[in-house]
Formats: sequence, structure tokens, C-alpha cells
Amino acid sequence: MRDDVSSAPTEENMIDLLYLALTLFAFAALIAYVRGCALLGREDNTDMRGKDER
Amino acid sequence: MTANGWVQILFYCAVLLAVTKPMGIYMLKVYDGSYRWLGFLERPIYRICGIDEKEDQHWTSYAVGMLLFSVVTMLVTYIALRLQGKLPLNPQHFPGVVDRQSFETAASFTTNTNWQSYSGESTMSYLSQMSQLAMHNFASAAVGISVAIAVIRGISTRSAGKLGNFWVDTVRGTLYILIPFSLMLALLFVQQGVIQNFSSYLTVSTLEGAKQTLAMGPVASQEAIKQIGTNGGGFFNANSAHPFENPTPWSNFLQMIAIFIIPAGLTYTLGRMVKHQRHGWAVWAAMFILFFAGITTAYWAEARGNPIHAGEGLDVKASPLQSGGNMEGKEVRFGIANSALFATITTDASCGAVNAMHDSFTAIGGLVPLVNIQLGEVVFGGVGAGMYGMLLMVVLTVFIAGLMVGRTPEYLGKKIQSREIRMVMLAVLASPLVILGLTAVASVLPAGLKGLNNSGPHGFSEILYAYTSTFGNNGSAFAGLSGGSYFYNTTLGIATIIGRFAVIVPALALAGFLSERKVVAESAGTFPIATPLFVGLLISVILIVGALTFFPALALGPIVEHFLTSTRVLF
Repeated sequence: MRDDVSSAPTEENMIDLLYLALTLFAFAALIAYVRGCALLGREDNTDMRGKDER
Repeated sequence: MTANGWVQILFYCAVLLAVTKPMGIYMLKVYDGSYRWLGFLERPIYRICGIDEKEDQHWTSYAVGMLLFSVVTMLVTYIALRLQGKLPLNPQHFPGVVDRQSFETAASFTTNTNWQSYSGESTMSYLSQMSQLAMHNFASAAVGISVAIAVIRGISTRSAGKLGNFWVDTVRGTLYILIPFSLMLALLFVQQGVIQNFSSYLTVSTLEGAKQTLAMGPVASQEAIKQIGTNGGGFFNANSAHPFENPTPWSNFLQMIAIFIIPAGLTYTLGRMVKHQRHGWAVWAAMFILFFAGITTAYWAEARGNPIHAGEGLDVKASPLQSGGNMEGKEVRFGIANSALFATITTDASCGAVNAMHDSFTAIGGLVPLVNIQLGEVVFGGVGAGMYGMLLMVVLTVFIAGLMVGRTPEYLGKKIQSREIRMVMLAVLASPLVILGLTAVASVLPAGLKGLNNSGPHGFSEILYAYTSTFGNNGSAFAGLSGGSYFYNTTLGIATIIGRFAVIVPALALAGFLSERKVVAESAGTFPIATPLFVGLLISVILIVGALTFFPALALGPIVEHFLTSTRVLF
């Protein structure tokens, strides 16, 4: 009789999935970071001119 | 220190200077599309991949394209390493790489880090080495150069945030720069004795009659891109200290030149692209001064040797009969000068290849590689990474100079305002956050302490070096730390991802913002960017940012260890 090798995920499979999920999450966060930088870079009215230039 | 050692170091410096201009011109012509001698290969790639080579991407599209390319190749590598046992070109029948190491290796090679918590010769099949690791060596290097070129475009042109085309830049970098240079270098390595075969491992009888297994493999091809792409991941565990990877002083010299040739050339490319060649040379000079300070310190510390040995009356001076100094962890065929030089170069760049064990350096000798990485690897730096890292520092320098004289900071006629400085600070602050944060966590958690092989400040240095090396995408190991655990594989893998992309994204954003600025004419109050004053200020800013950020941590590690060594306390 062969062992039952059902499709239930093993611990190793679960860890694989966790690492794949971690990778996708990290890059999704980085794409959000691109958007965040773009928002941070919206032109503002901060006057950065030196005293002698005002 | 010996005259022979200094002659070799100065010869290296002279060759580096000589290759800077031709390499810089070649890269300029490749990226502006003037050199298309491989157009018959380039054009079909665009057609097959559906790339419109005339499309000019906004910096956000450029960044997202780069991130998508990286995540897809990283996932493919993770899966390929896990399935290695079922795939061909595996004469040693290695099983799939364990999950945690697959994650860290995939992250590490995708980010040009190549931190290895495994021995290549006993873990990786030839297919994994060639289709995954070597592929990333090319791809990650090409991505780095692309980003540097895009950043320079943003600085030098007015283009409403558009920086070029990521896919075109990456194809050109791979096709015209990395592949031809790697081919030439691989042939030179083979001529020097680096092995290149698909043979099974050999079992030979030693002179004593014992049996020994000799690892084989396609080493020369991997070795070439490992150095020229500043990747650093060795085919064998001993990396460039292994005689099959780096057999002769000439192969060692070629490897060291290969590490710096693209980063040095990029300074010339910078000068040409911004139409201010003296500025390019000023950046080169700042990098060279920091490099020379590093090699001088490392060579002095290693040639001086262990002060305890001298205190015991041992002869540690160089003579015709002995090298003197500290030879622990060094290859006799390279000696102290070439070991110190290699260590300085590999950590100035984000290479990480080693021809000596940094853990065996004296406290001050080991401090040099650590500080080099902590300065942001802007001293020539990784391929592309060094240039965009240095440009962040240049903008910061110009900003500080502007603050000092009370004028609006300008860089190449473009005003530096708050949004540009925000991006610079995001990039600068990422390193202390990750390096110091994860070092602190690893220093108190049992899972972190379990990996240590040394106690006290030396053990702390091992942890600090590991996170510094991975965040800096260097990948060199201090040794002494057992990084093969779920804790270290996962946290070091995360550090490599943040270290690579949390710097690239603000750098591209900075370039995008600057490309939107109009160019104003230089005036008497404009801070000159090609003078010794600029070079001095740039070096000061780099050192001060590095010192302020990491000095407290360094004081707990190599600095206190140096003083304790003088009192004969060892760890």
C-alpha cells in the first residue's frame, strides 16, 4: 500500500509560499514607494532662495 | 610596507587612470545610440519583447519597469533553485536548494549583492550557476548602469521627468558592454589558468596518498562577469582566494581592474553627458582620494601586523625570507599588498569578491572594508550604483555649500530645492535605519547571537558587517558569522532588497525632478563644481555623513577591539 501523498501542503510548501508572498509584498511596497516619492515631489511653494536673492 | 607592494599599488592606480577615458567614451556612445555594431542582435530583441526603443519613459515608469523586471527574475530564480534537483546539468546530483537559502540567494543576486550563505561547489548545479546566478550577474549589473545613465540624463537635460527607456538601456548595457567585456576577460582568465569545463568533480590522490575531490565547472565565464559586473559571488566558497578562480598575480590584477573599470569610466561619461568634463574628473578625483586613503590605511595596518606578536619579541618585519606583517587568512601568491588592495577595491565597489578573509585582518585593516561600504560605496562604487550614489552626495554637497553662503543651491544650472533634498535624505537615511536597526535586533535576539563564532566587539563587528554588506549590496563576508539560518537568511535577504531599491527609487525621483527644472545661467555666486574646494567639500560630506551615522556602532566594534588588542585582550 502506498503512502497517502495527498495534496495537503507540507510545512516546506507553506514556507515556500511564505517566501514567495514576502517577495511579492516587498516589491508591491516598493512600487507604492515610487508613488510616495512622486507625491513627495509635488512642487511646493517653499522659498529656498537665499537672503540676497529675495 | 615594502617598495614592491607600493609599486604594485601605484601600477594599479596608473592603469585605472588610463582606462577611465576610453571606457567612459565607449559607454557614452553605447547609451546615446551612436555605437550599434550589434544592431543585428539588438533590434530582434526589441521586436520579440515588444519594446518601442523610441519611447521615452517618465521616471515613475522607468522605476516601475525596473522593479517589475527585478521581481520576475527573482521569483524565477527562487523556483529554479528549489527545483534544481529535477533539472539537467547537475552531474553531482545536488538536491534543490533549501527554501531560506533560495530566498536569500535569489534576493541577493537580483540586487547585485551576491551574499552567499552556501558553498557553491557543494550546493549549486552547473545549470543554477549559469542560468540563474550568472544571468543575474549580467542583469543586475545592466540595471545598475541603466539607472546611473538615467540619473545623469535627468541632471543634464530638461525633459519633463523623462529619463530614457529602461528596457533599451538594459539591453544595450548587456549587449554592448557586459557580454563583450566578459567574453574577453573570460578568455584572459582561461589563459591564466582559471578552469572552464562541464566535467564531473575529479577524485585525485594526493602526495600523501589520501583521496581528494577537486570541484570543476564553468568558472572562467562566471568569474569574468562576477568582477566586471561588481557582483562578487564566487563559483567556489573561497571566492577569489581559490586557485581555480584566481590562480596568478596577473589574474588577480585583471580582476581588480575589472571591478573598477565601469565605475571609473562612468565618471568620464558623466562629464561628457553634462558637458562639463572637469566636473567628471572632479568626481573621479574625490573617489580616488577616498580610495587611496583606504588602501594606505589597510596596507599599513596589515603590513604592521598584530601588535601582540611584536610585543612578544617576534620578528614581524618584511624580509627576503618572510612577508612579515599579518599573513593570517591571506594567500601567499598575493601577499599583503595585493590582499589589502583587493579588500579595499571590492568594498569601495559593491563587488564583494574576496581574495583574503577580512575576518583575519587586523582591527584597523578590517575597519577599512567596513567603512568603505558604510560610506555608501560611492568610491567608484558598484557598476552604476556608485555613480548614482555619488550624485546623491554631490547634490547634498551643493546644497550644504548653498546653505553656507546663503544662496539657492544650484547644480549644473538647476536649482536644488526642498523636493530634491527630500529624495536625497530618503536615500541617505535608509542605510542607518536598516543596517543599525537589524544589527541591534540581531545583537539581542537569541536567533541572532546563535550565529556568532566570536564574542565581544569582534562578534558585534561580524553582525554589523553582515548587515552593512547586504544593505550596501556588497556581499563580501567578514566570515565568522554563521548566516545559514532562517533568521539570518530572511533578514539579510530583506536588507539586500531595501538596500538596492530604497536608494534607486529616490535617485530616479531626484533625476526626474531635476529634469523638470529649467537651466539658469551661472553667476558669480554659483558654487563651482570642478575645483579642489568642491572635491574637498564632497569628500568631507561623504565622510561626515558616514561618520555621524556609523561612528557609534564602529566604536562598539572594530575601534574598541583595536584598543583592547593593545592590552592583549583578544576575541
